[in-house]
Amino acid sequence: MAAPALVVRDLSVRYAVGTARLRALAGASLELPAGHRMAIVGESGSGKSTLGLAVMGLLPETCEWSVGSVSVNGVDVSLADERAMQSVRGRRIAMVFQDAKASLDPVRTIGSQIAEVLRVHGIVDKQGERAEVERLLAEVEIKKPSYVASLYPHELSGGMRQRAMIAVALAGRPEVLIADEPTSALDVTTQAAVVDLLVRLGSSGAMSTMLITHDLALVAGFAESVTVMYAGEIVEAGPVARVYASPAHPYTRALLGSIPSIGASRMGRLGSIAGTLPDLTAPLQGCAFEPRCPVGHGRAQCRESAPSRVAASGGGAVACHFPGELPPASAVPVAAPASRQQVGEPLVDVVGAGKTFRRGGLGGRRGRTVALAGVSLTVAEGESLGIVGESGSGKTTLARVLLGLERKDEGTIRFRTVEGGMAEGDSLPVGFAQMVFQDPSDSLNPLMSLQDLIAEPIVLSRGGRSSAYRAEVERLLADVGLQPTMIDRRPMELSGGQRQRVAIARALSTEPRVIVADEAVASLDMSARGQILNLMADLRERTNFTYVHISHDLSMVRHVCDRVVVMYAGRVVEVSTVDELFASPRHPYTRALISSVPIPDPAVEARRARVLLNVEAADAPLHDGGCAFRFRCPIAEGRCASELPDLAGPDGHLSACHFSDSVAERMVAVRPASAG
Amino acid sequence: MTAAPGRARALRITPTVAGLALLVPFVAFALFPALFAPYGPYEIVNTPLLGPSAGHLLGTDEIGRDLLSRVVFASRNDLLVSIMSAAVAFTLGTVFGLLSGYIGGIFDTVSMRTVDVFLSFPTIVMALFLITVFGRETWVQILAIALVMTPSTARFARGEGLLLRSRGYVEASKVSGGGRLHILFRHLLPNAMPTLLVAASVLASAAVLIAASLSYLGLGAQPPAASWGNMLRSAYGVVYDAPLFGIGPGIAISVVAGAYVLIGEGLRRRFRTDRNTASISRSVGRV
Amino acid sequence: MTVSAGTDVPTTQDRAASAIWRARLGRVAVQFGQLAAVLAAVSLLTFLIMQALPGSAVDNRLGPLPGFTPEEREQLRQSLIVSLGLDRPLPYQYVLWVVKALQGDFGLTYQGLEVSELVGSRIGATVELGVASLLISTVLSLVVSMYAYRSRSRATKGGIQSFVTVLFVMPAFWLGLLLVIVFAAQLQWLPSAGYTAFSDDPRKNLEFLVLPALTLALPQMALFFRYLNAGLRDVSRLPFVTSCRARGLSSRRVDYRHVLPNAALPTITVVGLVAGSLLSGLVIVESVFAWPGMGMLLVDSVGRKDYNTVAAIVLITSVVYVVVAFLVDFVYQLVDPRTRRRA
Repeated sequence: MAAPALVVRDLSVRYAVGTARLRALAGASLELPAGHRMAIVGESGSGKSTLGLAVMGLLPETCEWSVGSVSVNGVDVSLADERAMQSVRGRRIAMVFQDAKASLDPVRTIGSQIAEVLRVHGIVDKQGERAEVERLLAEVEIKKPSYVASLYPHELSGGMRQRAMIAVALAGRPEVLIADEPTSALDVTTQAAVVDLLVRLGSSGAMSTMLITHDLALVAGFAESVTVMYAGEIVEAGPVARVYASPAHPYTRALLGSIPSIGASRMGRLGSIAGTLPDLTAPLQGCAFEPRCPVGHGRAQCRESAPSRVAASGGGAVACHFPGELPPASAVPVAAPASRQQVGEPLVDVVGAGKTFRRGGLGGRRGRTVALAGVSLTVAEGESLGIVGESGSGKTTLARVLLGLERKDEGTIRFRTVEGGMAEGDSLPVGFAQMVFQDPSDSLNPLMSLQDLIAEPIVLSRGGRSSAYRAEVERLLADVGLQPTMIDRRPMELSGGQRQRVAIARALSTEPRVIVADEAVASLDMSARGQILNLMADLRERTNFTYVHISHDLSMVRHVCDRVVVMYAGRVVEVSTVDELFASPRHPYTRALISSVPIPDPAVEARRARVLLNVEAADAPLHDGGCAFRFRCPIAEGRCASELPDLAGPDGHLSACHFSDSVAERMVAVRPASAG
Repeated sequence: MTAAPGRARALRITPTVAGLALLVPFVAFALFPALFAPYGPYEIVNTPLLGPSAGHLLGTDEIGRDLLSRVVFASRNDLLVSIMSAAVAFTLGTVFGLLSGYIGGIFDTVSMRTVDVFLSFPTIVMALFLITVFGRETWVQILAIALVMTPSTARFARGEGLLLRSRGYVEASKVSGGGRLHILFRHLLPNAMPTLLVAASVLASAAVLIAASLSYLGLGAQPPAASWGNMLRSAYGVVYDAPLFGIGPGIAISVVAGAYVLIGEGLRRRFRTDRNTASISRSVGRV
Repeated sequence: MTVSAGTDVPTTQDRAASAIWRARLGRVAVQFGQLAAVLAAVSLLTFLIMQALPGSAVDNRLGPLPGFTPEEREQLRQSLIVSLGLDRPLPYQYVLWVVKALQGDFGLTYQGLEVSELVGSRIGATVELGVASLLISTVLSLVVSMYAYRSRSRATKGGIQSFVTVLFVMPAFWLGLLLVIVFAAQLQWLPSAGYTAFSDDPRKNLEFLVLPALTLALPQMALFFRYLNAGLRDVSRLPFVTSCRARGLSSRRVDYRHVLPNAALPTITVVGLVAGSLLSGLVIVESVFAWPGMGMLLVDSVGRKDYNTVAAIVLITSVVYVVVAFLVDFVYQLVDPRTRRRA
């Protein structure tokens, strides 16, 4: 192996929080070999982003840091010397940030931002500037480089913006590229394309890449080696195949067990990690993971002494007193797959729902966005229905229409009354359905106590004061796994996962027939996601709830849903039971989606082929009488432009494509740029 | 405010306390002027236009009245006008604006265009008009100042309403059957209150300045009654003979207006609202 | 350097560009409609307030008329009412007033002068003072806010903040008095009040200009500073600033080329609104410094109950405000690329 491209020794960072000091990084050391693709994985609070910023010398001034040494290709870099760092940043180490929209200067064109980097680092002379800008944009697979160079960031689609951001980073011809969550703001098909691009750039040998992410599935398709962080420390590092196949650290093992995968068949309960991140302002004694560790919890050695780094069998290193030891059997919930309930009578029936938003209104440019176009679907009593699609697919609008937060323009909504007949309404009546929102810190009024929050729906339906329902609230808190003694706390005092439990308790309080969960776990950390999904599964088993999960996350949908509705551009394009959908999708869009979802298994990812969509056509007109997907569709033909395909198919597996029956033969999936 | 950096740090910790400390003496003056003023407000006690001295800390005015006493006695009217007009503008503007932002639609469009129309009249001109039409009584002043500050307050509160309307907890409450009034009183008002209180302090400060400007133009308290504005007007006539004449009333205006600003700044930090209140001071504060 | 689409512009781009322009024109048309509506409302309100003002315009026109009997006076009064159209219904009077105003005819002052001529003779001085103050405040606020932003000393930042806060609580006549005390009464560098036309004596004109212009400009500066300062602070927290530093740009370059334009662009609208509402400040400052502009004329006319003049000035200034606000909005859309629609 060649000399390492990046070596970091003993990097420690503390943030000032009031008078306390928060430990963000505690003596982290790592080596990134030349031409290598490495991933840094961790949950929020793990210090992974701090690591990236620290290496760039970009930590906020309010924090204290110390470092043994940082070197790039054998040359020492002094993080304290701002002048010197200016010639390192962008030139030797470049960085790509999470949100390209926010990370590009909004009032400068893409071209001028790239050119500025070229000039500051003296990469090319004035005459060559423009050609180099276009070469860089072409390098990141942008089709019309000279045109795109003249655009402002907000004029590009999300995927294009992230490519432009990568082009800016490549402009200084860096030796190391750090990408901090570069795809988490993107849709799944775009995410896959950007990851493929990063893999290709990182495979050229000239540049080493470091991907910072929370997404273990993404790592499997990208990295050659992986470094796992927890509470500011590197707990495990090693070749990606070894780490995924036989994780040596209990945290890594637990993390891998907590994520659903579309690759595996349904697993039943997800693994989860009890508790939350330790208080990083308190002095550390022993192993930081000990309080949550299924292996070491309570062991004297783990409580008293911090584990040192030892070689892990099979490659890499691990910081654990008992590397590779499996937790006692009882601690791992080896669950039987959740029993699938009998699908009952239709509970909600939507026929031909349509919704068009008028933008701007008076004074602004008037535009129409068709959010829903002729959407029909049925939710059966007792089932768990998933509605999936990318942003702009109309899935959230559908939920909002059902709950009366938006008014539909056309179509009918019918629902089963208590007496058993079907009634019709503009939306589902109050009390029939409740919603669990994506972000619990937004959906819970910060000024109200848990008592008032959870009792609000009861008070609204039955009247009286919230204190009259204290016993019920306490019971609900217990139901969602919270201490009833927390009843007088406010949302700010809870962790993200606990807040979402409160939101669920609130939704349950009036015993609705349907619970609509809009990306209910998307804002949570991986370990909390597993807990919440398990909680919802438990509740479903105990009671007769019907769930509608609105999600962009196919892995999660595969794990928790019985049936899936796939939406694209305001229309339903495919409906099927979950197993059949993943086994034999009948719509090209569904195929593309499924092939884009990363699978947390490096061996699988290495063999995977991908359906490539035409990303740049995403903004073409969508509602003109033809199939809205044809602009991105790899198998579209002439009739797709003129004929809107019907939603039809055998045995309840419906799809809206002219070629539903032959879609598998027509679509030849392509292997992405070599991942090996 | 004019503090050296060392003291500025002390103020930075508790601007509210500093603001209150500046305001309290004036409240005391307003309530019990006779306790603090060495002479009566209309008493001619010495030669005109004396400079500051031990006997007359601020000197005497153009007919020989004690300036300090007049500044103290003027507090009552000036404080009353500023607080009352800010309270009226705040109440009207907040209710109108929050509702407009929350209800939206035609109601919002019409009310905001109305606000536009009123905002297009220069502040002082509008107040000047109203006082000319309705007379120079104190309550007219209060209402006139309140009325010119209401439109911008409404616009500000509307922004708050819009911001809060899309918050998840408002939607969550709607899904559970929360009606407009329930949402307004249970969710919108409590969450908007910190920001609105900051806005109220800006309003009070602006009201002090507008009231003083009107007095300066001869539309406030009528002579011989004292007001800080009309004392400053007198000061201009004698600026070469008694340059320090206007210092007392001028400082009084700035200290009271500054005290309100400080209290607002303290509240802003306390509640950590980052909303920029400059937008509200833009149209009401400048005279 | 700006990479612009050169000769190899694809045709789709032309179409996109023309679509953008069409959309922009549509938006302008809607805005024009709103502008007209607001103007109509403004004029109506002005008219109604005029009706409410105490004292009759007719009596003012008649004057004392010594030697007339009450009957003769009443006769004259009635004929004047008829000739001025004041016996007609209010809507008719309003339309007549607007139509005449559009032709530049605001009637006569109580002294029998053309209102339009009187007001016209004051516009020059007002514009000079207003423009001078805006120039000073804009430049000063840019310099001061950038200095405070880049300064690493908390004392400097705090000092500037305190100074600006003090300016915020100084009404114009009090600030003006301080300036007069220092620069006119004590130092005797500048005259305390007065006016000389620029065409008569440029040097004297400028000497007279300094104090009123500063008096107007300093509070404006404070306002612009607050916006810029808040803008700089907000922008500096945005991820793109870190991203720019990560590209190896010096902090100076980041501050001046990236942070400042982002923070300053929205401030354009504030400068425009202040420009549109200058008259409020001018009313005070002009009477403080005996500057013969429209502000002083307004105060004098209110005192003389010369309502035709008052109505003319109020209408002109509110129309100016509305039009300037409209133009600022339009200019902002042209200048700030963020308001450009996606191609």
